[in-house]
Amino acid sequence: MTVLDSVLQILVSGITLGGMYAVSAIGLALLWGVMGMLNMAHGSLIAIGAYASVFAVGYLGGTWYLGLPAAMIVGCLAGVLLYFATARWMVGSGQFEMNIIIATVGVAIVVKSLLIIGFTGYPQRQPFALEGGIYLGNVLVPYQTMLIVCVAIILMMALSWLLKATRMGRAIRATAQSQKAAALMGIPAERIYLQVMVIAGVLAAISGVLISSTANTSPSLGEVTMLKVFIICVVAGLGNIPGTILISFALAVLEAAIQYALSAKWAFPLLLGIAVMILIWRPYGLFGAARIRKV
Amino acid sequence: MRDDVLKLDGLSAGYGKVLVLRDISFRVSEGSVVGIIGPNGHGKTTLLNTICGFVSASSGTIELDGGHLTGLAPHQVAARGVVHIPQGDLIFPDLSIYENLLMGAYLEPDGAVQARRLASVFAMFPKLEERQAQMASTLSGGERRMLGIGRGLMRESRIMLIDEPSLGLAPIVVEQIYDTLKELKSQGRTIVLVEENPSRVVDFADEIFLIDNGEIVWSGQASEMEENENILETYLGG
Ligand SMILES: Nc1ncnc2c1ncn2[C@@H]1O[C@H](COP(=O)(O)OP(=O)(O)O)[C@@H](O)[C@H]1O
Ligand SMILES: [Mg+2]
Repeated sequence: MTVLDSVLQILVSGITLGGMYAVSAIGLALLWGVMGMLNMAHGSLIAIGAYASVFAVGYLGGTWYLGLPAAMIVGCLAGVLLYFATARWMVGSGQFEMNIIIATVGVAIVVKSLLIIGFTGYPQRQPFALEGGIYLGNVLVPYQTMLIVCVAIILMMALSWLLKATRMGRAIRATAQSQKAAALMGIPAERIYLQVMVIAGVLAAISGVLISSTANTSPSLGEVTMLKVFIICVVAGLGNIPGTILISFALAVLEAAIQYALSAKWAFPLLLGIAVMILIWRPYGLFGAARIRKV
Repeated sequence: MRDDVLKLDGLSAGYGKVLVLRDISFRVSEGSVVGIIGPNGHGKTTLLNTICGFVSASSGTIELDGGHLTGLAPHQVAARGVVHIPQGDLIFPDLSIYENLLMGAYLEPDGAVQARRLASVFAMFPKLEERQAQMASTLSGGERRMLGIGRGLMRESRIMLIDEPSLGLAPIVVEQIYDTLKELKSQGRTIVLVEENPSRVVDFADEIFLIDNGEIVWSGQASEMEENENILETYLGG
């Protein structure tokens, strides 16, 4: 292995991780950016998405790629349910940001129990996966990596289009900037909250499929991922979507480098350490300004 | 008699237990301009915010074209045809000027109507057209005010509530803003205009209400106001 091979190897795994993290992190960042919601049930949405694919393909016998639309549909429904279970009753309440944390922690506990009852606690194989790959010099680039990166790029482009070019997206950004001004324009905050939770649900569910395809599907899948994704969001500056995407890839490449140079068990502690140092240097994250949410 | 567009009856409102407005009653008839003046901190903004639904009334009623607004959420009040151009503009800083204007037309989904309104706003404020692609946060105070007014003109309204349009602007810009307001008046729009400084309002409004400590202490035609200079002196320090 030459140095070039090592670098290539790190980039390939880093970009794979980065694509998965970005899709997941955007959902979390969007909820915070638009409604000040720290969604502690984000991990549940991730796990639900992974199991939706397992169920559609493994249990119902669909073709492997049907796992993705299955996850999207279930993620959409999960977003609606999460809205009606939590935010619906808290919009406009004084302690929204605190109440929603408590409520979503509760949801996360319930969802994990339900997943264990429905699918047992044993890890299962994610069917949304491709075998094989191509060699770039000595480095194998798995087809699965390309699939993940493609899905991630398409999703990010779709979201960017949705937010920039549609009436709904403009209203979402307007609400993020000033809920009061948005109300004067005739935009109901409740409708926007529901829309954003559906978008976050779909993105998280897809990320669950991607993430479990490189590991396994288990009821605690979302918890580990959510911790990493949360670190990404905080380092980027909570709520800043372009920054979140950039940091997803930066931290993922870093994680891949640590795994390659040291070992997998060092990756998380070192990442956490780096995140803490960045936050000491810039308490509102690299792209965040105090109390300003940007979508 | 022209029909009343807005009718307030015994309206009281405030924040928490603190009552800011007490027993406010007045009517605004179709096509008229009502000026509300009064010293700083005496409830003018609270009055407009109660009409538009930001502040809930503790007693009394608000009617628009005979239907109740009392108890409605701000987006519902907006949908009934109330356009509120708030104090401090409340524009969307990280949307472009064009997008800010489009948000004003959120309740007007017809693209052709939107385009027509956009053209007339641009005709009124050519600067907004020149800079339509810029972020609203790059605008000067006067341009923001223009954007706030322009955004309010992007949809059909039964009544416009305009809060201190001259606040914080250089005299020459205030002049421009009032030229625009006069144009709106000449279009026959129904307007409630709030100002702390009465000098502009006197030759713009048809009827004037003086608010002091949350109560209407004087009302009359603008011309009567000039005759009653002692009113101004008592409440506004001359
Ligand atoms: N959001 C608020 N919460 C509590 N008190 C407020 C709030 N807004 C205004 N007030 C109080 O209500 C009173 C009237 O304020 P305001 O309606 O803004 O007056 P004006 O517009 O005439 O200057 C003031 O005493 C002000 O301190
Ligand atoms: Mg005021």
